[in-house]
Amino acid sequence: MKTLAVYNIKGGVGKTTATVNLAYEASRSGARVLVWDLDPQSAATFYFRVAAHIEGGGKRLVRGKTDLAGQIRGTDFPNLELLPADFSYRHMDRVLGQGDAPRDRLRELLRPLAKRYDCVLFDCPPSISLVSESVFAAADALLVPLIPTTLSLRTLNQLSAFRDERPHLRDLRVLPFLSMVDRRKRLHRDVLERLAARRSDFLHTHIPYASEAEKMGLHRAPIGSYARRSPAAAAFEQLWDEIQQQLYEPAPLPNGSVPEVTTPAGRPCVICACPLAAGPRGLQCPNCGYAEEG
Amino acid sequence: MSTRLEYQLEAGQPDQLAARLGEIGHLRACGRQRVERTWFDTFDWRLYRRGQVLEQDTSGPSSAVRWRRLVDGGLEAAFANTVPRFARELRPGPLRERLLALIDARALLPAASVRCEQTTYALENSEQKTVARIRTEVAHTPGGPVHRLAVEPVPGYPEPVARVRDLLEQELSLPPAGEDLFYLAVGATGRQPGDYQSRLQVELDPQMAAGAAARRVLGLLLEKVLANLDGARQDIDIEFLHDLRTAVRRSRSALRQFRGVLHPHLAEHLGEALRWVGTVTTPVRDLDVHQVEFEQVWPSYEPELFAAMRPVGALLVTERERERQKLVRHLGSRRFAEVLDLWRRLLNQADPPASLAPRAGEPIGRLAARRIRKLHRRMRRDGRAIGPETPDEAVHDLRKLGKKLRYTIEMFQSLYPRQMVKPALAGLKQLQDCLGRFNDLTVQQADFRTWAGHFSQQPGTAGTLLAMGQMIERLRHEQRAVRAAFQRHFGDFDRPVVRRRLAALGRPPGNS
Ligand SMILES: Nc1ncnc2c1ncn2[C@@H]1O[C@H](COP(=O)(O)OP(=O)(O)O)[C@@H](O)[C@H]1O
Ligand SMILES: [Mg+2]
Repeated sequence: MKTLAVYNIKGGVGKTTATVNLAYEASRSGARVLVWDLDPQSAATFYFRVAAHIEGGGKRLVRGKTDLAGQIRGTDFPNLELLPADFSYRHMDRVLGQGDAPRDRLRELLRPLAKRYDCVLFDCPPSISLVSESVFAAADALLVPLIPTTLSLRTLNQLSAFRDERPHLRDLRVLPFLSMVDRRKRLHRDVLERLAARRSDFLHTHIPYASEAEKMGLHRAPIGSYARRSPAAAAFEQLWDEIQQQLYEPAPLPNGSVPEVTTPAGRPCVICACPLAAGPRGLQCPNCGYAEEG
Repeated sequence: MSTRLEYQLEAGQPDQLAARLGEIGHLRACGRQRVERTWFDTFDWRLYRRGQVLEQDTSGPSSAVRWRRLVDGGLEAAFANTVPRFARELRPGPLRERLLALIDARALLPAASVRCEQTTYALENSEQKTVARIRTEVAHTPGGPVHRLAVEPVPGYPEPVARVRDLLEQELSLPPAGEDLFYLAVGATGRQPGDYQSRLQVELDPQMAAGAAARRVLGLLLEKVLANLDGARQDIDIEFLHDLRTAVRRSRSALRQFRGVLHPHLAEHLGEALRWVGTVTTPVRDLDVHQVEFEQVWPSYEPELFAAMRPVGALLVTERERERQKLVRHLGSRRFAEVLDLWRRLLNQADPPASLAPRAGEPIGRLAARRIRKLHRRMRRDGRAIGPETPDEAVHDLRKLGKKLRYTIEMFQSLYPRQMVKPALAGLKQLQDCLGRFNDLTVQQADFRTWAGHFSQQPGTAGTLLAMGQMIERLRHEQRAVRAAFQRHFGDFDRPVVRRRLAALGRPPGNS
């Protein structure tokens, strides 16, 4: 299971729009997806037509007193589910602060779901707080939507600095991308050009400014479900592909190291010589079910 | 995640149903479609064996795929695309990883299809939220039309689904759907789900005469060869040839273990003939293995090294194509047909006279135990004689011996209780892996040298040659490490518990 957080310190940059649409494209591509709407304003929950309500409130949920899986709601799409927001999430910072090891809390809450989902997407409230720190610790990558202005690029640098100062966040990927790009605006075109030349850390796909995106509130659904052929839907599909590429392509080994060489088809099974494959309990034979523990 | 409820319908029933379901919530019609539904699996039914199916609904240019469990209909994945031929063709992501873990290099082949007309509905609550998906359909199976209704609950909304259930089961008394359409459709093609597996499964009885046992084993192995022949010729995936070769190797080993049981001349001829089959199928298999390494392992090397090796990858492709053409000719040749004839002749023979086959009447349990005992003893003797200075040949010989032992145990495993066989094989496995890897590394170094010879005659290939030198160095480095680990693995194999497990197979089963 990969955990991705759509995050930016600022509001109104397209976080919720990205969460909802990336989750939808992910589920269309065959992943089992959970969206956790952490924003008490509950915009993602609204877009999925789910009631913004957690039984017993956010405090009991964070403390582990409410069964988290029992609060999950299906959306209108197969393999796309939602843990809704609740207005009480506005106190989540305080609730986390009162408990032990607040930074590890969200990661621990998610652990039992690791087998059920391939991907968890957080829609984060715009702030830097214990909530976002807990999100960072739980996430494999931060997806950072940015509107092409120099100002918002500075917030990205702050975010990277924040990560670099914390050893426990060493493995956290920061994947920024441009959102609400309006090619008719000179400034946007300039930023696009400069980025292409200087910043290799940005995802190449950007999300265009599009009227279909604005209509999400009307349809209460991801763009791809009502405007499949629109450029915005295509952009989110492509963005999701690119994110997958980053997360699942093997990174080249550091210079000079010898890779772990395995026999190509995997080791053969002792019983029937079929190649063993990684199963839930170690290596397993897909043919006869022989399992090799540990 | 969620499971699916499915019911039988009668023709004409759907329309009345819609009205009744509308009493529970708003029933929104999502569309009526004619679809071609096709089920996919690998030749050896890897999905089915896990209780799963891949189901593709195609309607005009659009198609949707469900990967679901057979037992409860629950979704493992759903994707808006067509089923790929190979898992590796999918884009990077969880779907690719999960499918690869299950089917690896095997091709997904259509197992059966039917035409369906389906109507889908969303049952919505007062907030227009879908709380269940409902589908009625007619599937035109060869056995006639099948009418069904499926309810897919949406997680988090148990009450409306409970009411739907009450309505369908209590009030309307709809019978449950029974067998999944998958079974009906596959059954109609003449195949059965799970009708092929790579594993050799021979049922033998300890009291059975060795002659009959030998014919049963060799008969099943011939079936494996025949089952894989078309796939290997057509190059559907690389496992067909691999399974074919494995069956041939097992047969050669069986012929040796059945010395004194079969007609000696026929057996010897067949052994020779199978050796030839082994030889002519080797180049393609070796290139298959290299190619998989090129695609899956080499990309994780340093980018410069991988880039310099690209011409080798291209060479592999052309070499393989050339070797494949030769292979197809061999498999279609008269000589190959004669091998099969000879094989069949051996199977159809009654036991030869005792002067030719003195052991044909011996109970197979006794013969099996004796063979396993001897091979185990030889293996321990030869393995103990290998020290750090012993030439590599002895290590290679031990690998072959170990393989014989494994094949023999597998061939005779039905004679013993299951709980005796698995641990015995497991005790052999680590050592065999080590010996197998040692051999692979030898072969790979030799192949790299051959290719280097090829490139050295071409201008502008200095980078590639250097990279190959580097690769050979790596392989040699690893080989030294594997050889150093041999003593430990052999020690593990030769320790008392493993010895006892194998020795237990050396006592005739079934006459306690
Ligand atoms: N690509 C886009 N094109 C046009 N409008 C957009 C786009 N992305 C988001 N918006 C609009 O901008 C506003 C803020 O977007 P939202 O995703 O809610 O941001 P955030 O979650 O960061 O606060 C919303 O009204 C949304 O409809
Ligand atoms: Mg938001």
